[in-house]
Amino acid sequence: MANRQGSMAAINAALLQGPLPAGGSSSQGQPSVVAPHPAPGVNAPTPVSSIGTLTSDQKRFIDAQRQAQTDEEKQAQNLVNEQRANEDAFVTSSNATVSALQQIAKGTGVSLAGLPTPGSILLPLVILLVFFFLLLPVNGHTRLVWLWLTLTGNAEIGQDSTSSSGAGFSGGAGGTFSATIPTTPPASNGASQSTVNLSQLVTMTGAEDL
Amino acid sequence: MTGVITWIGTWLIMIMVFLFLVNTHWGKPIVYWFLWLAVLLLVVSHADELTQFFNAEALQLNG
Repeated sequence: MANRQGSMAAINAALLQGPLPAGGSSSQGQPSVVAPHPAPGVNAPTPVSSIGTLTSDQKRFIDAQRQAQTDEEKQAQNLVNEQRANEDAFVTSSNATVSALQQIAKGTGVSLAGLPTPGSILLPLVILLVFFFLLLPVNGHTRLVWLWLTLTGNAEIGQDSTSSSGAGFSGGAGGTFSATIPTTPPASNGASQSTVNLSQLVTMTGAEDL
Repeated sequence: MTGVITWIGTWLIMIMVFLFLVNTHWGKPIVYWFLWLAVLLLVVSHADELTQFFNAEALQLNG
């Protein structure tokens, strides 16, 4: 902006120092380049087309114009350079951010990979399966016993008619194991282990978790 | 039937995710400690049932 104001000041100074070449002779009495020709035969000046014969005012005007044009070009170039610098700064900051995130991810991965896993991954998996199938009873039997009863025809998977209760060994699949023959009651329930308690049939087919 | 498909699909997706994680150098410890956490939660949530193995009546019935 300062360059533009400077160039405009130079143009104004050139204009104040002498009139524009258009419309008449200069202050030194020389004919203008673009002056209209007088009547033929009355000291008609020869038209000047060479730049070497320009007056000092004209030269200053042309120089001011060139200076202004140069200033505008410089200003435009400065704008382009500034835009390029901004783009370069954005790309640089983006690359720095990406590399920093990659470093964090890499460090986290290395830290996780360094965590100890004693006994390998099979140990907790086997413990979970033992708990799930052998130790935790569901509807009076463990899942392994229910599997055995089902395979031997002593239990079947029926539709969960008591699904409204919200419990039972449906497992989300909609079916409920039910014993087709009386099974021994759970150890914590009855004192008579060998006695068939018909009421157990109701609870076995129901959705009561023990 | 929809419930069965959802149940099986959920388990299959979980198993696939776990297998993928186990095959990475950073996911294996995650799965490992997640399984231990599951064991812990299972024991805590079924503490009553698990202690029935050791009460006097159960020990008597089990000989």
